[in-house]
Amino acid sequence: METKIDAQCEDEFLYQWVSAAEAVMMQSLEEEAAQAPEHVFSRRFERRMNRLVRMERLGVYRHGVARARAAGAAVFVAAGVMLAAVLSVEASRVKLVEWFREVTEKYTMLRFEPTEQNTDGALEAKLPAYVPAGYRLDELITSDIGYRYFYRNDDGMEIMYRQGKITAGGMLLDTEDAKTTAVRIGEWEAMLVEKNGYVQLVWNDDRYMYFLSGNVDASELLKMAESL
Amino acid sequence: MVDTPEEKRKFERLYTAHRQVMYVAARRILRDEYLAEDAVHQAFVRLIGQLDKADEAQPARTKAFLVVLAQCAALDIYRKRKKERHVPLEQWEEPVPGCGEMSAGDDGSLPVLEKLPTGCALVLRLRYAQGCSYAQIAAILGISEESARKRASRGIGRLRELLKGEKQYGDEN
Repeated sequence: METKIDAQCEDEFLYQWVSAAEAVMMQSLEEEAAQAPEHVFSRRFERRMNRLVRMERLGVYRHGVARARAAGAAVFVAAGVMLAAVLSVEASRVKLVEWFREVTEKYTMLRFEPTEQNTDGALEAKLPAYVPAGYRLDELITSDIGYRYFYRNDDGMEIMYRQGKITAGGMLLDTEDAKTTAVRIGEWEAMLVEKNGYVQLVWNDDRYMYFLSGNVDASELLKMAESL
Repeated sequence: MVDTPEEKRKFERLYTAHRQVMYVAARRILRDEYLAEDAVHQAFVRLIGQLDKADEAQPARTKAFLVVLAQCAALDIYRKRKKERHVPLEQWEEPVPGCGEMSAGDDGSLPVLEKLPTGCALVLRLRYAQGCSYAQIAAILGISEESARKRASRGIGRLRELLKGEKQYGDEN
């Protein structure tokens, strides 16, 4: 016989039931947090969070952004080294994009410093001529520093393409247990990151930074990139 | 995404307002102050890509969202320390420390949720308490959308089995 449970285990029931469970858990946590003395976070934690917040202030691309124009422009910095300390003002004026990579256990943080000439002017949209079968342009989000295009298929799968000005800032890539590969998009170097079927591709040319991501085969993202 | 000055200020407000409760949630799981701080940091790294989900007009929900991010990060750390080899989170069957110390709600919902595999319970909370899409869940947990859907499906299946044993749900009245 069909029980009440079967009917309740539909979305409406789950929204109510799981929300109720979470509310109970939150009440318990808040009571514990209120009763315990406020935790004084360590200086190590504060330094890491300040660095993260500072990245946000600079204007972070969550996933994508810059790859050095030439191999000689790349500077790799070990974890724990303050990135800003290694960038000289003179160097930032000479090179198109200087980027630094900090690798931790969980993620890779890229920070980059553009020259003035590539931050000026209006952004000229460049769309890929190739889009994987079944995907269509579904959404466009604009900001003063770039465009985000969302391609979706009928199954709800999504590919995001981002084009932006090369502005000072940084990005965080989830590279824990990920496969990272150096590839080329035309004459430009790019970084391909694959993790659990989720693929990210980041690169820049002499004007813009580009980022593609989605749960698709890496070859499809490379085709999209090459068709720009 | 954190593109505008307002989004950047929002990120800082969330950090200032909720880091303590996030720390408490992570410490419950990890039993270690140092590791709990790591989990809070990782939670904010994950928040960068999900800032739109943190709706400050709904403070309780926002706080719960940040807590679940901290718990996800803490469980990742716990898993790495406990297991010498990688075991997918959805395969966990044992209760995770720190997730089973709360009293039940009036409807008895929490104890049953605790009996779900940890990975499934997290996905259900993100999906049904936080209203996340599977794409968002996948990004938060670092898994594919397909895996997120499978975990949800598995969790609902287990939930259905567990609830059949609960008198208040099983009776036809």
